[in-house]
Amino acid sequence: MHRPSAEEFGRWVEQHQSMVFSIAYHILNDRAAAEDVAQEVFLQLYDKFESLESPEHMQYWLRRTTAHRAIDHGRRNNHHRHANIEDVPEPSVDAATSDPIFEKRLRTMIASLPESARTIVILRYQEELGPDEIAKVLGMPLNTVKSQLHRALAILREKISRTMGEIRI
Amino acid sequence: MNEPRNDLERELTQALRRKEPSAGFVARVVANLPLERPSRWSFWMRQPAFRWAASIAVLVAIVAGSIAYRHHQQELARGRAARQQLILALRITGTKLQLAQQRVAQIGADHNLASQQTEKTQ
Repeated sequence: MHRPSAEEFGRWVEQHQSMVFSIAYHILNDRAAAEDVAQEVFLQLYDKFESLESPEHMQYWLRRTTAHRAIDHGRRNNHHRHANIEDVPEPSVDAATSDPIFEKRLRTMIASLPESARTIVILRYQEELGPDEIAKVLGMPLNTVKSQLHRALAILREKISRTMGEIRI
Repeated sequence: MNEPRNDLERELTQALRRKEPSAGFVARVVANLPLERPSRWSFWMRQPAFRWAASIAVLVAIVAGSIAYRHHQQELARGRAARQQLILALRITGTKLQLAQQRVAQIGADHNLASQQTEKTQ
């Protein structure tokens, strides 16, 4: 792909900003840090633009680079929070409906997962990638992805049932 | 994976839906793009002195090239003329040798004839 003008590049950023920002945000659980990572990723994209073969290749590269950069950023800045589920405040409304408090609580639980499991969950449920695509993006064996995803869901179920009891899960 | 999703998976999809960065994100990214730095070559090409020097160098190269070419052509012509002269000289030499050979043969024949006549008279 040819190197775009600043204006053209702005359109690419606009098209992919929510994907890149959201991957970083869900990994780091911190808006400001996620914006920093997203910006770094897009600046790196600008440098790498000519080596990308197609828009699909760009999307794959963005997912992969954002995931790795967010994990690195989290390690450097200790964003990896092993949030204690007991510290999370009780929801004030019924968690059976998708409400902001429950969502926030769930995101905190996701943030407490080990980084690779967290990244797999984010790529699976934010980006709706299949395990084979996740394996490709993260450069992991397919069976590892499947087992970590299975394990992550089991952990999340357990955490939710511990705090809310056996409601709907 | 198009399997039917359970409640947890639906909640995860909902909680992890994409979000937008703060307003002005695109503008901030674009503002931080590295400016196109002119290459060293284009910097020099914009200098008038360099352009003059480059033009003169090109002109000198053309003139020197044409002189060298002409010199080479003259050398070739000289070589051809020398070859022609050599061929002519060899031809002349050949002709003279042939004449001398004929002359010698003639003298030989005259001598034999004289000898035979002398033998007959004796």
